[in-house]
Amino acid sequence: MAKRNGARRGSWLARLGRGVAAVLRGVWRMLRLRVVWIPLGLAAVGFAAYLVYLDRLVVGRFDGRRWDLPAHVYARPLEIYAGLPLSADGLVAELKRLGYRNVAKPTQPGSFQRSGGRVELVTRPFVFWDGKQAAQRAAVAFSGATVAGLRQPDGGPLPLVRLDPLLIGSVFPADGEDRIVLGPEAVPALIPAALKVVEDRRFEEHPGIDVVGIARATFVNITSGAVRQGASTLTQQLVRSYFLSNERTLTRKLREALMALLLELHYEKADILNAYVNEIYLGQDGSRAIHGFGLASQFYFGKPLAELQLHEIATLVAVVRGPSYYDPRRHPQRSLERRNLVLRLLAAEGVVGEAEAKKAATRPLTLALERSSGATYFPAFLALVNRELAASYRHDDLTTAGLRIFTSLDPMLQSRAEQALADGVKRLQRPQKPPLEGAVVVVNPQTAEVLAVVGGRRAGFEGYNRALDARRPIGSLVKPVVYLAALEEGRTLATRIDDAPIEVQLARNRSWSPQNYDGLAHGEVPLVRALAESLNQATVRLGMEIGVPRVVKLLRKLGVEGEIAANPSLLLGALDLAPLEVAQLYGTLASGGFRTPLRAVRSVQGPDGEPLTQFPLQTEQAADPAAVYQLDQALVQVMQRGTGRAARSRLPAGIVVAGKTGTSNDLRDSWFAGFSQDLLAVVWLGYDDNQPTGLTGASGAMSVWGDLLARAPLVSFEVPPPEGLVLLGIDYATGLGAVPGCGDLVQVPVPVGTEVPLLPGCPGGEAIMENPLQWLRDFVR
Amino acid sequence: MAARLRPLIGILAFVLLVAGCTVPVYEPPPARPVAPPPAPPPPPAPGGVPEVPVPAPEPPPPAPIPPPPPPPPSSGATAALLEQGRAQAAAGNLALATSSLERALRINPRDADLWCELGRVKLQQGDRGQAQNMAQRGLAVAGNDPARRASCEALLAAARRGS
Repeated sequence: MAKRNGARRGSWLARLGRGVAAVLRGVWRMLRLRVVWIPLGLAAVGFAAYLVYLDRLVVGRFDGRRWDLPAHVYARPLEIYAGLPLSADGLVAELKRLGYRNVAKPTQPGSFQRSGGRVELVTRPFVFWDGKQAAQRAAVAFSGATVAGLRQPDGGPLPLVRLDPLLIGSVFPADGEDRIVLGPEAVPALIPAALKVVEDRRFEEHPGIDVVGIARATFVNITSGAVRQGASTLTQQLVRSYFLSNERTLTRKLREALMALLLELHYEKADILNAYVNEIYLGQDGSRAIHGFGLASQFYFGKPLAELQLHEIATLVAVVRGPSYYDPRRHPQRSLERRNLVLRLLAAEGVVGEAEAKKAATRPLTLALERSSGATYFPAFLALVNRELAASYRHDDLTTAGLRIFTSLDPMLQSRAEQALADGVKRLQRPQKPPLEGAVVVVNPQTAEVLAVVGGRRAGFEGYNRALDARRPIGSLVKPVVYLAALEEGRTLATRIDDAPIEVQLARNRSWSPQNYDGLAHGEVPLVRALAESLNQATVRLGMEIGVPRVVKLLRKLGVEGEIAANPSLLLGALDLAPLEVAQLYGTLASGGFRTPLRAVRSVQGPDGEPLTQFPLQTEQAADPAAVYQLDQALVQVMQRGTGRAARSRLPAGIVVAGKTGTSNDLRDSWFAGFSQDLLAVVWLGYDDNQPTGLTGASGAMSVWGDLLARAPLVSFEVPPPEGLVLLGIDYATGLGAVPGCGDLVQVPVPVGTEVPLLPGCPGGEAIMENPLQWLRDFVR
Repeated sequence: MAARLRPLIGILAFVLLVAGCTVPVYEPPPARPVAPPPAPPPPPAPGGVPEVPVPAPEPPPPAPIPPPPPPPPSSGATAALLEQGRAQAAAGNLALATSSLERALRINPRDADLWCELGRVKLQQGDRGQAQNMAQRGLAVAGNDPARRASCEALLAAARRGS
């Protein structure tokens, strides 16, 4: 049998040989004719020129790739210190988000161990804006929802630990190719070894194309009558990836082979292999193409390549053959089988031990949640980052210069804000209406850093970014500015204003008679109550007394940049602002009157770690500090007694917060803006087509706000009073002097020397003697 | 005349008594000086004033505003960053100093030293405007802490002088 086969093969080869010889004889005969020389010479010159062209192309791409790097965007790094409002659960959630491994004894970077109220961890080394930070071991002790202490595991002191920041996205070019480029030293040696075993066994020997492999594959394909084997070398795969073509025509193949040969002429094997590791296509995330093992590691496992275990590396090597066919998320079984095949090959070739491979084959795929993959994770926040960077960088720089962008995003707060909005619109959705929309902006008013941005009910999707672009009437959110103007002009929170119906004369004999939400007039009320209960008639009367232009001027000073129409209706919020602009305005109110431009980007770093641009904190006194202090205390009363009571009651008892509701005409827009010491959240709810929502600020946006703040770490809004202010006890309803036991006592800060007549019938302070304890209790509250 | 003044004196005495009794109740912790007490009532008018109206009962005097509780302890985190920022500024590395001080401010924005140290870096960078603004911001959160006030006042004066 074997003999017959051999004979057949022999005769087949003999026939081929005779054929080739005949062709060569023919060619030789033609070459003896002169006429053939000229076209042949031209063809040779043409081919040489073509080779030079290909050479330029492939070398240009290879070198260019080193510089053609998308910018990467990072969230804020979590800083851990004693006193930080963070629970052990919160820290573990952050560590998991960062892909830290939960192990019995944390010794490697990127691992942690929790036992009760104690977390031990080893941070990853990371190149920050302010320098390289080595891995750090730390033991964190908790007391309830607060970090109680921090030290090194051996007991040494440790004031502060900074974790590595979460990668939240990339600014990649229009072709959608995203990658993290790693130097050879950052690639685990197992990866090139495995690639050679699985994809290209003769990589170290062949000159770019594998003649032996081609012969073998050709033989297999011819004898089997079908295309069973390919023989693309890693070099050829790299070339194919550079020029984005999967065409399987012969000319394409020849071109690819020539380029592979040229590439090998220019570069070392190790360089080519490293380029492959950074270049090869490994998955798809919407419009974003995942290239290279560095990004694929983040995309599939949520952690750096250096931390991958054997079974995870094998999964990535398995995916190389077909990122869509072997997609570990969509086809886990198929992917797992090929992973185990890779493990068997590695063991067979002695790259890893037999037992090690067997053990790895028993592991599940251990994929990270898809959401931690970046890019489309926080599109609304990234849109803000892009806008800020557009002022300093060309789009080309962002997509090719390998920049690292450090932002202020707080992933924990961002998730909570997304959740609160999604829950809120679901709860408040009315049947037979289009989907209720909304937006949330969270900032730290003290540093003016933007912590979270939610652009719509479906936070994970790009699209209309309402937080930045939906400019809608802010309604009563404007009132604090009216009252601040009045306080700056010398009125106090105890100043009485008439809430009777009011008619404002407009141009051309028209008039305007705004009414209170409850349709009632409340008589002479102090400013603190008029603001707390958001009384329209009293506010318009006050605003007309101080003058609309004065309010416009103050709005400008506080940071409102767009157009402001100086009409009386401005006093009730006929002013269109986006949630982000409201956050800027209220940020000034929440920080003692200091206007600090909001920032989402802290700094930008070049590809080699060198700092390029810093976006420093800039601040400026925009309003009188004493007036702002008084206003803020009135906004605290909004939450204690006024329209904000319902939200206040959902927060821990001792926590002081300030805020204001806003509702536009016909209940089209529902707003709430409120703050603790270092969290300011602005919520807007409404329809994209501007239909009435049936929601007031309190029944709509405020419930979302309360939901968010109830789940956030809060520090009371308590600031040192400026000099020259004292507390005055007044009757909340009338603004007349009150004492404990007589009148509805509320303590308001007023300038020294402010006097008010005593509420009629009050016994001139005798009550203090009768019930000092009650008085003290009121006072402390 | 004396007879007509007698009820007035009685009321005044009562008011003073009330004021005297209540002030200890409001007395804030000693760290914070008490705002000036309300002006004493005017002395009885000299003889010859024809009409002394019977005053309405007066409300109790305003009380000083209690200072907020101290910010949460950061057990050395901000102190370490402040130290680091100072060292970086001293070495002329102003961008790094800015970065360290901003890190500290995120942890405790109520520490006046951090604002004013950042202001000193701005001044070193030649940004007098921001140096003054930082000093004012520091003063706004300094409360009545004399050392911190003095440090920020010194910065404010230096920034205004331009040195």
